[in-house]
Amino acid sequence: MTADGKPYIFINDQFQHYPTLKAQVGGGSKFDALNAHIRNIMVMPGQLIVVGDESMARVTPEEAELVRLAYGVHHDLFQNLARADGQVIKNYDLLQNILNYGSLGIGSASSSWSKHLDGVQKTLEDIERLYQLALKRGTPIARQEFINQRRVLFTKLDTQLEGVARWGTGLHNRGSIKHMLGVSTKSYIHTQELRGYAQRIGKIAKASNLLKHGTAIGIGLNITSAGLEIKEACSMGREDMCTKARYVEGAKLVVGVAGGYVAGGLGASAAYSVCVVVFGVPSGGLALIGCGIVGGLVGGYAGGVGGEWLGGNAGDLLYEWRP
Amino acid sequence: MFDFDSRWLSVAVSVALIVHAAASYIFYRKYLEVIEEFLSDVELVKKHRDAYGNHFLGRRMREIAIVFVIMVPGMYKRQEVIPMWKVRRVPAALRFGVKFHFYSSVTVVSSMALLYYAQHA
Repeated sequence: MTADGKPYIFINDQFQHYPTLKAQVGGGSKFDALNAHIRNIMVMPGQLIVVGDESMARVTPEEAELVRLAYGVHHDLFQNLARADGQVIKNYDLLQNILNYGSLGIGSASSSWSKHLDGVQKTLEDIERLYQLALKRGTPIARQEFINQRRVLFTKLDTQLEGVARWGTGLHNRGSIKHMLGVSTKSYIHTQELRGYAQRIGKIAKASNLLKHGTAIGIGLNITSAGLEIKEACSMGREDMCTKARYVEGAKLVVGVAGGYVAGGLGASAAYSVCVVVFGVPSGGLALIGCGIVGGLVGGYAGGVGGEWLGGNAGDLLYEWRP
Repeated sequence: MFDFDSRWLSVAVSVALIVHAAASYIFYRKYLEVIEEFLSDVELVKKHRDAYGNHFLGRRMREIAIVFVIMVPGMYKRQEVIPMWKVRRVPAALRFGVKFHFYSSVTVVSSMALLYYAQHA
């Protein structure tokens, strides 16, 4: 396997001993030198293995670059405590497709979710403003008014955070709202601030922003993935393969995105109608967003994969018929 | 014997899919607010507009509501009774556009599924 020639790199797909791996690729002393960071340990799925040119004892600049990449991945895997059961590696394609096309389907729902999070943020800001206002006044009448207004805002927040609606807000269920927010009139007066408020609001804003851009990220990943496929085909130096990859990958990208968009909408419509008719879910509510997420995700994924397949066929034919 | 390359069907469905996606996007970009304005008496349409916002693709939930209000208003009887006269306020051309886009998306996605099934069965 370690034939004399160009060095290369591959991804280890299973949990195994280093000597077993070495024996599999027929590595020699240079293999040990290039993979020093994983020598004599269990090699995890996802790690990059460098196979060098055994005819040369010296480490070439190209090999050094590959080692640098492999070490970076090794470091990242340990940093992120990657699991050794290989699930991520095995399901990479599925995960990528769900991320790519599912996002098209749930785009609508997630932006609604983002709007919901904005609403939670607004209520939290209103509560903070109310506490600040209560400090400036201080008469018994003002205090009663403060308690009444606070009750209204807490009820509103409680409704906003019901069930799954709590996801993404960074707020955990710890009994009463006051306890959850870590506030009380007394503590506020002493500390002049609501504990952890800024961080919570910051988290909400971040989650909201991420959800808002979910679809754009999905499409971006699709474009990157197609670009990498074309680059890989063109790097082999065969003009015909490079041209074919441009046709096929280009068509897969366009039709896949269109398929995800159309089928995602249809899936969301189907789930929406089932929730409205069968479960009588109230319109404009959060449960309906949940229905949209599920339907859009399933439809978007199926449509994206189907569209990619259609695009692949179409691109293949167009390549053969090109002038 | 007539020799037909089935990949031509893939080309046809792909083109239909792209045209439909683009046309549907343009149609709702231009007319969603117009249709919602005609249906401003319907509480459900207002609720959807307020709840689901105006993000790039967030409008799709509102599109779905519009489609069902125009095509099957009786579907919402547990939430709100929508009389037909309210629906008929929307000009016939726009109602046709909404229905056309819905049926066209069903047709194009079904064609894609059938083709996929035929080639993988």
